Amino acid sequence: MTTAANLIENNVWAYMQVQCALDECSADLQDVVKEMLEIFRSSDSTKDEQQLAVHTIVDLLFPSVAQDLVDDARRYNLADEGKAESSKLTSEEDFFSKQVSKLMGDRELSQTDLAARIGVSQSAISNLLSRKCRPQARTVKKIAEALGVEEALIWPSNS
Amino acid sequence: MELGVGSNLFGAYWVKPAGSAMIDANRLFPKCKDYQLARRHALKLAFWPGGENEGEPVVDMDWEWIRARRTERIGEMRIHERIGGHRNLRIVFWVADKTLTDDPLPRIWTLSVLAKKRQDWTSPELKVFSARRKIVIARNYKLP
Repeated sequence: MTTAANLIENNVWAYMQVQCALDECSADLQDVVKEMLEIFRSSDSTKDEQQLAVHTIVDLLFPSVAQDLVDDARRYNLADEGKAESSKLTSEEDFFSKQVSKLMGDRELSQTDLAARIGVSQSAISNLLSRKCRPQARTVKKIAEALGVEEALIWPSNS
Repeated sequence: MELGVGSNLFGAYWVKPAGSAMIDANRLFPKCKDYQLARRHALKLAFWPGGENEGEPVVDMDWEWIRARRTERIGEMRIHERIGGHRNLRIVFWVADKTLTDDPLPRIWTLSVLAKKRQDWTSPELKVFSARRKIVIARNYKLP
């Protein structure tokens, strides 16, 4: 077969798979697909909107795609490169927690005091310092200002 | 890349990704380190302060209901930092209104992660969020 014929056959093959997956959906979910197709077809839709619609259809008709992404990520996280990336993020959070705790102690500042100064709850400060949550860059800046120090003193990436 | 916390439950909600949110994230963050960063922020939804506390941050993240989807309990959480070159990042989430019998905690589903380009959500975006919520319900919840 020619290259063009191969291409057409592959496209028809893909279409048949999509049609079969669609036929297996309930009527409600087939309506969802139709709604997403309308977004895709509309000349008013942006590329980003079309992409969101396509992702929705892909997940609806082929749920294994998302599961494959999860599995890929698990494998990556267990590999050396993934562990190194994760470790870097964790060490940043650890540095932040230790430095902020020390500076708060030096200034006899409670979590409630610091929370009030930057406009979050005491429990938010607790979660950040216990490393249950990673601070946003904006939060690091606010905390540095509240403590009267340079950001580099509490966040290693800025040093 | 799991957005949920798996066996390491913490907070008041169990954060789970809709499949299409995973596909969004894969497209938006091809580098794993960017994905990991966004994921860590998304997991703060485990500490969501509750629907009556709009204005109170999710830890250090601003959130609000999406007005046109308020009755469906769909909200948006802002990431105030640049990740993977993207600004104005939003995590769109749905607070499930009932728990599965075997759920240890009530669930918050992330429906999408995207870089918001306009002030208001567009009609197609709103339709997509509702559609994804319907898919999550059809797959995970038995409606009465």
